[in-house]
Amino acid sequence: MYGLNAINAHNGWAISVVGVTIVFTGLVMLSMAIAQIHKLLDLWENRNELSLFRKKESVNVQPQVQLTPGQKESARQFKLLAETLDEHFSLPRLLSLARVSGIDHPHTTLAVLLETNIIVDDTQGYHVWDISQFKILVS
Amino acid sequence: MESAINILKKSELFSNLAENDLAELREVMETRTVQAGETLTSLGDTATFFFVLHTGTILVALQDGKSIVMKNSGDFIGLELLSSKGIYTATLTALTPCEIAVIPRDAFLAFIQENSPAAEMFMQSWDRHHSLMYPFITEQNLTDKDYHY
Amino acid sequence: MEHLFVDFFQNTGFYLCDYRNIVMILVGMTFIYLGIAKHYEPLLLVPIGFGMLMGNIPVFQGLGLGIYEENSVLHYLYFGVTQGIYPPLIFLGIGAMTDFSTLLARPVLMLLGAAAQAGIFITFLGALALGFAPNEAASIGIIGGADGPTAIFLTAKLAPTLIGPIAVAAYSYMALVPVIQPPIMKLFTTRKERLIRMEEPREVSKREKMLFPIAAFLLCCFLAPAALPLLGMLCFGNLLKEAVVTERLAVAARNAIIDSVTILLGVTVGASTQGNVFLTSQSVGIFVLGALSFCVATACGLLFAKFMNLFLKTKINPLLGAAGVSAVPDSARVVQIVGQKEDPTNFLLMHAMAPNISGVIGSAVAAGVLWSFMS
Repeated sequence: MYGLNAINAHNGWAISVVGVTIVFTGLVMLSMAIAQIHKLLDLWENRNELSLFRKKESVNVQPQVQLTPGQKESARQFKLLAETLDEHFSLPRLLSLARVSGIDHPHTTLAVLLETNIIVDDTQGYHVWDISQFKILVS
Repeated sequence: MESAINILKKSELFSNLAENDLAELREVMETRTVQAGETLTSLGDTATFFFVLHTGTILVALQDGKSIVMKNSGDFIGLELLSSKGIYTATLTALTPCEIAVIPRDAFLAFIQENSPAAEMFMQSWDRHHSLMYPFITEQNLTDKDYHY
Repeated sequence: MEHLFVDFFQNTGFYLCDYRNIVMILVGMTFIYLGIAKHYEPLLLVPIGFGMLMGNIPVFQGLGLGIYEENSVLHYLYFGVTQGIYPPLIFLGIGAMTDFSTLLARPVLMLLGAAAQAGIFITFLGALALGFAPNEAASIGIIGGADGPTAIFLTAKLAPTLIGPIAVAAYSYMALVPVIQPPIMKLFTTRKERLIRMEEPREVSKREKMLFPIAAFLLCCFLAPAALPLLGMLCFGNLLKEAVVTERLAVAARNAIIDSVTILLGVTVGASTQGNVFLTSQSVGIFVLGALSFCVATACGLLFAKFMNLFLKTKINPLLGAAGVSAVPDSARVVQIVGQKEDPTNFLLMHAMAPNISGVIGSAVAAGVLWSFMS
């Protein structure tokens, strides 16, 4: 048997379509999965910063200071700015960026961040951002 | 606002001074109120005042991006923490509304120059406090002390 | 005494020789020439070529010399081919020497490797149309995967009698990648497309590379369990490489093991091409369909890359589609050469390795799928 008859008789069309579909599905799934690997790894490496993994702790830790919604918003903006700096950053530099960026009440917000220990002195003249404290008080 | 003398008494640095020494300082001090965002000194300007914090938070921005935050009543901002040979080496910015006592620099230096026992006591406290709290401030700034010795 | 001489002469190759043996010896010598003089896949063509010489020395049946005689040494060595033992061992070595960074950096390029596998199924249809049985058609189609071990593995499982011609066709076309692919690449792409530059890939962490073989193995083998022998060994070899602590095993897999197995596989596949078995009209059909399969696979990869460009913000160079046929790393090298002919400062090799490696995975999955359909 030859030609289209042979293909039809041996179910060739179905085998080809299903085969191509399976190969494609497999590689698309793999492609999507490996595109997420680095994100999952990032999540795992920063798991201590995730509220999900800090549920029990966060229940026990009662924020001593309540930030107003406006302060929280400014704090978030400060955090974005701090992320553009080194881990141990210059406080005057952060303040300067906040002023340039037009954040509301940059000085008092910075004072609040220092007061609430969201920004902490590294004892070497620079400061660091305490992400866990930020999550407790702002997020 | 609390009297200047009470502000000095709260300071660890001035607490060992005798009453008459404190009274002498009180003569040259005055209290001020500053608003958040106000700049008290600018790096490179001629140094005219030292400061004692009563309430509020002040950012002391040093060279090289380093900084200190003053927020305790009685914190002293002067000597190598603020000036070198008559020039401010830091920029002071009030982060919140502050109440401060200001001491004219020349008067303060004259006080510790003329009053040896008080100066000795103050400088010992200052050195201890300084090395404990601000170890990262390098010797290159330590010149205001030499100015009067 | 005269009788003894006559008996001896009648047992010599000169007396038993058939014109088909001569033809195959010439083919074997051509393979050796191409491997040594032209540097076309020498690690494969030289063993296969010499195997052809070995397999085409006419021997007296019954002495246990020929590869198809059950008690011969060559037959025992050929056991690794017919039982599908060598291909997974080769995949172990390939896994231990492959860096999947480029694939991890741009997973979307994996689709090009998937697209090129369409050639396998199109050729499968063509083989059916030419009158081949479904199991034979599947074995012929897999030539388009341009992956020798995969082709041998599937043929050993589905159509053992065709191993010789299919293996020789697969390896021949793999060796001829630099000749076959460029005209197709030029035919399906414009100069403007060939000039497209690829974005710098992101940096891939060690942990990512360690997780990849496990994720790839689990995903692909859950979907197509029949791909387990090939993909399992490929991913295992890669885990040995990336785990660092198993470096000794990885070194053994990518040197001693793969080299030993390549020698045994090459020689026995070559020896299996005995003139009387190999030179048939069926073999001619396999070679024709194999070439077609290879060309279709290349074209499918190229066209799919162009199709992807319709949707992608940052366009990809469609030449990369040609690397979707596995033939690692030759098809990626061809992409680099063709790309550089248009723009000598355009470096596509690193990017082409992504669809190239994806093609290896894709053809193994396709082989698994065909095997499960035909079983």
